[in-house]
Amino acid sequence: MKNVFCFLLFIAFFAGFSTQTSLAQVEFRDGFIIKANNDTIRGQVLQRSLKNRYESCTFKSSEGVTVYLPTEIRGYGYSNGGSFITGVADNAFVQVLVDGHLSLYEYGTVFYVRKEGAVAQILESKRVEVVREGRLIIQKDEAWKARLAVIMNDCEAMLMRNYELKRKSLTETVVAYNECAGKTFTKEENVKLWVNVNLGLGVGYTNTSMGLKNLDAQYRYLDTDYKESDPTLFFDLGFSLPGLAEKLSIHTGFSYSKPSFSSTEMVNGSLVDAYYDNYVNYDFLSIPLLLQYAIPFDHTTLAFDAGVSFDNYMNSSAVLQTARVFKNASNRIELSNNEFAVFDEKQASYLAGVRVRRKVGYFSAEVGIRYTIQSGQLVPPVFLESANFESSVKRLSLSLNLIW
Amino acid sequence: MKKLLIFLILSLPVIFVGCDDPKPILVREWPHLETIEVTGNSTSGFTLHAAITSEGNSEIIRYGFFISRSRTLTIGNGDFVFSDNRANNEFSAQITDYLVSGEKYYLRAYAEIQDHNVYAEALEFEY
Repeated sequence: MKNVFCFLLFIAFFAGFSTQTSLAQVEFRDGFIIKANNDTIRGQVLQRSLKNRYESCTFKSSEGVTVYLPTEIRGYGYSNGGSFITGVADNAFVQVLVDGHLSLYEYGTVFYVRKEGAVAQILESKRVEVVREGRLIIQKDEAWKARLAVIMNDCEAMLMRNYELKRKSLTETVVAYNECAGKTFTKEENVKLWVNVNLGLGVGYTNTSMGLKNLDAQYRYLDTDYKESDPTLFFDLGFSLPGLAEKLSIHTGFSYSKPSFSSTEMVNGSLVDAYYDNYVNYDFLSIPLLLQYAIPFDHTTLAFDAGVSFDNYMNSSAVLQTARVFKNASNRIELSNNEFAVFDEKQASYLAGVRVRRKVGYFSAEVGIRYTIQSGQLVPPVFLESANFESSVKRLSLSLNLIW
Repeated sequence: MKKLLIFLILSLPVIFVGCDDPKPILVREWPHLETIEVTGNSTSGFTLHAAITSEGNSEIIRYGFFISRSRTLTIGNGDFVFSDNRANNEFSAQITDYLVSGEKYYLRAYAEIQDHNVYAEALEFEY
């Protein structure tokens, strides 16, 4: 009955979430596209890593989400900085650094300059092999400097200027040239590096398997394997830098569960029957630190994560309750309680998992499986320091999470 | 957004408390008792405290304490102090002029069921 109650709560929890539609979508940023007919359409542009920004633009408007290739639009940009145009490099978007009489564009490690009404000139430095005095020397091709000098030769102040094939140096140079030439120009903002923060909340079940081995004789009444499934609460906090790596993210948060284990052993004697009941209880708070790699498909994302967790065992107890039932006329039962082990309260464990995520309206719903291993969390108490055993815990968690 | 947050805040404790089903202590025919402590002094008297951590399947007919000067449980070598003062899972009893100054005593919670007399682990105290 209680399981049905939990299941219904579980469903209600997610049904309640899925009816909400007012949360923001974090992957898209305000931006625009410039269509082939020079119309500017405002909407939202998908955040992309540096490499992917040159290849395509995923644009969301009231008409839906469309992926544009460089052959289909004239350019796109983000409202808070960073714009890209076509028609400079072959079949690619290039980032606009300076737009004016002399414009400067960036495409990876290569730059382009274009004077009004002229064809764009590439600025790149390759390593070339040169034979000098009979020796093969590898040196940088500095022809781009001469090419840039020719473009700017109508401004005498630029002749003595020293510049490098780097974004900052070239931007300053092109700005200085436009100023020298008395022409209007715009120095474009760079694409902001943004951090995506995702919050996830979930509930699930954790199957905990606690193993005890190499038990001393005084622990002969303990089981070697305890199993328990408990409801678990999950809170997840994910950080990613899509401008650097679209598929990697770092996750932390916590999970909380409250397992209880028990086992019993009965020993029949001619005068006394003995019952040995063992109880292990604790509150378990785990704080994971995980690296997650996500593989996106059309509507679903498959993610793998692995890392460590810092675990806290709270309110823990491991007690052996003994009842000795005398068979003689006294009919007495003698009880005793003994702590047979204590928890090493702060522990580290290793964990790995798989998650399947799917967009549900403005949320992502996620099903996750996580496996954790840990050892040495139970030790004999001080008064039994000569005693010995080894403990290990394996946890398999199944969770349903909502992420926004 | 506001509705969502309220829903979330209300849902979590319900789920957690509702589904938190700690495994009950193994239920035996007899109750499980624990002798907790002795409080008070020679002027006002002493109060003996105990807890019933598991009720057991048999009805508790009487409950109280067994006081002895011997660590070993020997029925003829001690006295019973019965209690009628139970609150939830704890019970207590008062003694005033029973103890002798300077003596060491062993106190055990006690319960009587249909076929057995149950004695908890002894708590040693000195008057």
